[in-house]
Amino acid sequence: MVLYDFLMEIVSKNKPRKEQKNVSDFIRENGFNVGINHVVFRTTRRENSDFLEDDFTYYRNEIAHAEFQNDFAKYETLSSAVTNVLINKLLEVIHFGIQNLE
Amino acid sequence: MPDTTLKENYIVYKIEGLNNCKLQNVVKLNFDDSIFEQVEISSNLKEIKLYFDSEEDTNNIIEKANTVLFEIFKRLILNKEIDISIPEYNVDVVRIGNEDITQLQINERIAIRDEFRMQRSFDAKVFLEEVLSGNNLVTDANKLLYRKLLSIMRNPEE
Repeated sequence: MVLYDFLMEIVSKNKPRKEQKNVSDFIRENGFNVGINHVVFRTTRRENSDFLEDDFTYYRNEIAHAEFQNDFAKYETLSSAVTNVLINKLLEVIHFGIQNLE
Repeated sequence: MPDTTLKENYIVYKIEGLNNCKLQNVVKLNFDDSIFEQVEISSNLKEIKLYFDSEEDTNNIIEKANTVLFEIFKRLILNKEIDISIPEYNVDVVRIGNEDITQLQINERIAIRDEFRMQRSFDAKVFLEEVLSGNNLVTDANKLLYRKLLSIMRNPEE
């Protein structure tokens, strides 16, 4: 969660707002959504919406939702889904963001 | 090229939390640094040894070694082949000549979930050259951000 917020902070520099859309845009604009071990995009779980969001955003929101609902079982399931592969990828994107800060 | 394989001065860092990666054919690698001339990483990524040939003050050596280790450690963490699980590094041994002058310990603890994965195997020289290639990633402009990144990862509750 905090790592995600850190990424959002980095990619939102020089943007009008600090928002999740900036993360998805950054991933697409820099090609992290293609190739081997790419960041997966999936349909948001947000009600009345059907846009695609990246895995980082998706899991961030799902975990936050589980915490808000105090749903321990869901929280555990989601935590298990957050693999080292996903975390390594998140670190890679953060690292790229830091190295390419304008 | 002078034979630099008999260095008596070195600092050993014990490493934890870098998993599922095994290096073969471990060698000392020449290191382009003003103080530290060679670096060696153990096959299981549990130990990094920095060799130096200097008469500098011990505290100064350790301080500079910490800076170098921070750069190497960050590169290892960012290497996508390595699985991260509560990484930590400590000064284990500081040896000058035949004297053990270990005085200081540092800790960097970074928490990420435990997870079993297939172990990957790499040639040590190729792996280390790749990890250490290129200019320093940490600059004055971004040092604070990398510190913040490690600080975030240090909290095992996140």
